[in-house]
Amino acid sequence: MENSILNIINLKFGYKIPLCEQEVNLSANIGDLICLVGLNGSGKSTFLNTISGILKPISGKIIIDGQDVKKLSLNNKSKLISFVPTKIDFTANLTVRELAEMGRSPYTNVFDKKSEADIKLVEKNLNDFDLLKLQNRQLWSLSDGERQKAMIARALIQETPLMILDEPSAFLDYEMKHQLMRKLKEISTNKCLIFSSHDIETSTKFATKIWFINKSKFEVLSPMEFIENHYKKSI
Amino acid sequence: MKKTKLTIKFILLSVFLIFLGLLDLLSGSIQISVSDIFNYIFSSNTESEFYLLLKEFRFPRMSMAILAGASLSISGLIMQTLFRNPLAGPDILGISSGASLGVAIVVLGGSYLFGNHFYHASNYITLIAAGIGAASILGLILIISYKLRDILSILIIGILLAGIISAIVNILQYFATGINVKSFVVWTMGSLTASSSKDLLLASPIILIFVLLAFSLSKNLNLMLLGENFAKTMGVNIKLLRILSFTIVSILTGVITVYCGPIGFVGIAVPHISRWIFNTSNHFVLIPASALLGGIFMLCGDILSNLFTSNGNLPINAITAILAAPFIIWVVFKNKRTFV
Repeated sequence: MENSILNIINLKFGYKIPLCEQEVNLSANIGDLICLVGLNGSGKSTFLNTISGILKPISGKIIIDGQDVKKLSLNNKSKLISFVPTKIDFTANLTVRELAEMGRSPYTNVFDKKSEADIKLVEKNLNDFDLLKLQNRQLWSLSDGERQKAMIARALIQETPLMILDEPSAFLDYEMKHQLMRKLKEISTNKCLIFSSHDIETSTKFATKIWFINKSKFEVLSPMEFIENHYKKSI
Repeated sequence: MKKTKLTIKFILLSVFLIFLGLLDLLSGSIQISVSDIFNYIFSSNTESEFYLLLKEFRFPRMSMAILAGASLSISGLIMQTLFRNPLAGPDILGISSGASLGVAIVVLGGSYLFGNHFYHASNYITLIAAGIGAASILGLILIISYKLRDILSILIIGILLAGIISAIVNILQYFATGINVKSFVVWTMGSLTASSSKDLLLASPIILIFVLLAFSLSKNLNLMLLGENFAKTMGVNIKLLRILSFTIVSILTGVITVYCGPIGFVGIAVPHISRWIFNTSNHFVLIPASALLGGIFMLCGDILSNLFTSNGNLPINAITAILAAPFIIWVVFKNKRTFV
């Protein structure tokens, strides 16, 4: 427990009415690539939104890197958790570069002045995702895959030990899905990643652990256990 | 490369603003020449022929046009980002109507209580009344925004509030005397000529301070471009940002409404023009750009309003509507995808 980056203690989450009857107790470590699984409406997104601080928990504690999230300032919290939402409407005129640079905003001053190190980090991550040549393109003009890569690059630039992704592969084709999962696996070597997915076959290949919301109870399983005990029975 | 392009655009717009400012000083029912203006600016000769005209009428009018354009455009920009709605503007939240209510109560209600007495819409009592009206609607919106999570609900409540207020104003008009109704209606048409050099001295520092405050919110407003939930995970305190933004918007809009009347459409149109010219949604660029373009827009409006009549000028509100509405339609057609 000592070196776990995320500790969830007696958590109840939901909109006013708890989604899980039982209190949730979970922990996660650096190096974990955790796949959150559950049927539609089981509360996957609500759970992820609660951990990432968008929703307040009904009761219980969320401890990240030894610090109670409730006591952290919003800015300090954003240095610990980064979040990649399922789908964002890109109604704004925002370039890939501008989005990536937003990842540094927890660290910059009011005028968003970026240091040379910040700019290097942004360019390194854009390069890692093959986005450097697209950096001046408007986000709305990109494909779903490119946009998802940009969103993940931005979350990496935020340099947080914990990264949460809500259905990152939802709009991707099979090739992109595998590419994405390989990338997430690579990232998770020095981070803790939690992502939700409906694509069991791809996810279980890469995930180290499964968090399964089963009839409003949380179960922690290995990918193999999940496939044997639950997935195969239901199809 | 990108930076120089940006600088060039800003320089060109500033030069254009100065040019229009001079043109605006020239326009009006009394003919003056460019040399009269330079005499006024560069020499302290108070005896010169047009000294009083320039100091008390033309100069305040030109400055008010720029201040009004800048304030309303920045307010509109902030509202559009906060509500993620391309048609949001300072008039939408009910702040302009709040100011109108204040003025209506003094001008129209006064006539009901004290009989057929002429209440001019630009005296100090009406100014204070407009300020109180704008501030109380702001207070209400702030309380609502603290209770409600959903920004769209706040927008709807703002529109409904504006509706209620205009109904009250209608009732007040029904009971008021003809001359006071005319005085009120003239105020609602907007005017840049009502303010004196003293008014300008009071209004400009307030506006400058709040424009700078708005600029300091740029980083957080940028993060709002991808939605409130996203901004939250990036460390933005949404409630605080809303309170600060609404305060800035109501003070900027309130001050301008007090001096110039409820000027419509500028706040909606100019942010779109800025986005189109600078091809960005970055508030560090858009706030100064909207200030410049807002000033240019209002100067154009003022010059046009002086062009058609030999004595006095056309109501500025009518001119801005005619100028701005086609712009909004055109921008909506041109950029189908990007609005905010």
